[in-house]
Amino acid sequence: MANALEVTALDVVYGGTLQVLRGLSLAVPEGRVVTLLGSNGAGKTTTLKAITGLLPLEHGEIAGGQVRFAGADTTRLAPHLLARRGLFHVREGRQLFTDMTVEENLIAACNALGTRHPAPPDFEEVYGFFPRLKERARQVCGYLSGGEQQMLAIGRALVAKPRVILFDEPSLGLAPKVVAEIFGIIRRINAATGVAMLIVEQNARVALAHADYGYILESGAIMLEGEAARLATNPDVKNFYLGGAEGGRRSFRDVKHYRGAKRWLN
Amino acid sequence: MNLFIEYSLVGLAAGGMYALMALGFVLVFKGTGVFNFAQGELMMLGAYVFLTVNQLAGLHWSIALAATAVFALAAGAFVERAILRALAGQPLLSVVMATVGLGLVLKGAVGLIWGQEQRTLPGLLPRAPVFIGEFLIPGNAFWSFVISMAVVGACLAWFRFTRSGVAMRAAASSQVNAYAVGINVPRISALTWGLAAAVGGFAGVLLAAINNLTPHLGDLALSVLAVLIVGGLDSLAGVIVGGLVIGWLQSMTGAYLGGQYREVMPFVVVLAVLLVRPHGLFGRKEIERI
Ligand SMILES: Nc1ncnc2c1ncn2[C@@H]1O[C@H](COP(=O)(O)OP(=O)(O)OP(=O)(O)O)[C@@H](O)[C@H]1O
Ligand SMILES: [Mg+2]
Repeated sequence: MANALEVTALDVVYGGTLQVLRGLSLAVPEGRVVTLLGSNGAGKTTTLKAITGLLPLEHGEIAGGQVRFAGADTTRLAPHLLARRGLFHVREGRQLFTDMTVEENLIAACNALGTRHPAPPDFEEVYGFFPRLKERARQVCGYLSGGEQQMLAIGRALVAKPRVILFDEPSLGLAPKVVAEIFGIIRRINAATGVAMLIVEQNARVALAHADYGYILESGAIMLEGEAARLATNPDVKNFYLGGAEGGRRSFRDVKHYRGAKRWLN
Repeated sequence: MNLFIEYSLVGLAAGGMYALMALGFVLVFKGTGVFNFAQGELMMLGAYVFLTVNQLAGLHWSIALAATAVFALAAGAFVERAILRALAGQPLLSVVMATVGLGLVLKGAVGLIWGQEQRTLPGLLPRAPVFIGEFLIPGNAFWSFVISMAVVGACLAWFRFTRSGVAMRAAASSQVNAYAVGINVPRISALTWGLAAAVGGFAGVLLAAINNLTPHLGDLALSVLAVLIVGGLDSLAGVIVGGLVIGWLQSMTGAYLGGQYREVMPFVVVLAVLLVRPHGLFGRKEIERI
């Protein structure tokens, strides 16, 4: 199947000197759900910021490589133009406009429709997936619960009718029950609208359970990739990312039979 | 009692103008985080554009007003591009000083082009006094109040209900997040400055119609400092309340304590407000909730 999003040999540098991504490559096929896993500081958020053009706003730059979205080279395009083309980034920590109401946040996201679609007269599609947001439409969103805020962050993406949604740690700070609910809805949105997704997570168990394909990122490069179901049963992934890791082990690289595992998975 | 009501009405009418004058500052501060010291001069410039189109070119006041709005929008957007973007990444103080400099340049340039003499805009606002119940208000005070409130109200509605108005608030709240939802942040920023200049232009025309017009008209703008502090520098609704409160207080002070206290009273109130609420009555406290 054609790739909606394709990242090739991406190098990212912060502040002109600090290299964070080294030759990272990944692909998100049309309509599929792909997850990008990795521990703190691996470069997950950086990858998403590079894809959606937010990097220059945080003193970062793409030093090499290419991003292709919907068949066109979109490397270094301005972020609002990428959003308007249908590449929507649900940022880490929800990043709502906390002093505005739920509805106003959705109205703001209509800017991402550009000229592709007319603005929706109401937000019935969003409210269909998230009935709780409808009840709170007129409330200032800064006072919503963490789960509701994540719902609104996803709702903003829905409004934009994107081709690909990038999620940055949707499980962050949420109780396990709420995480399960959110991921369930994410999967339903994928099934109902066919939008492709790239989900960055630290919660590998949940992410692999809901994704089709997975990448494991470490120190700015992909260490391992494969079908989500196979990754979930991989002993090294289990050990290190699914809660099996014990004290001393610092890095996936330290897992001895990693090289064999990689060959086996590919 | 009658005196009280009459002075209240006159004070509130003046407060409407204060609100309009304050709105220009609030728009720019809320939208781009800059206190624009040239706002008063943009007001004054708008009034001269109006004067030129209306009196010198002899066109109808409505055309002159439209011309003022268009000119101000362009001027504001130009200032944003020429000054703000050139100074992007510089300390805020440099940017603010640049607006001070811009104000001086504008004042000088207008003096050179139009001269220092006093101009008037006679007959723009109906002079005939208006009765509210049994109370009489000077016509120009009444009409400037109505027009000011209409402009402020239109701005508030625009912020509340339109996509670009919401986009402006979103960009004010976080540029990165605004970009991420598809907002063209540079365009919105230029639009904010343009809108503030247009609002200022309207205020300038009204001020010139009530008093008179010289290149020093802009000096009046800083008299709304008290309004800004009472209402909160980043609160749109605050300008209305702040404007009305200050206008009313000044009028009351003038009536009961004597004219010499008029200018002092607002700042007494400002001090009191600052002691109780450092962000102003409506200024934003960060909402913190995880
Ligand atoms: N604006 C920045 N300037 C300099 N260094 C940065 C910047 N943003 C991130 N980094 C560094 O880049 C590395 C990767 O950061 P990134 O945020 O991409 O990690 P992450 O995988 O998303 O981690 P987490 O799981 O904690 O969110 C980190 O070492 C971080 O300190
Ligand atoms: Mg991150």
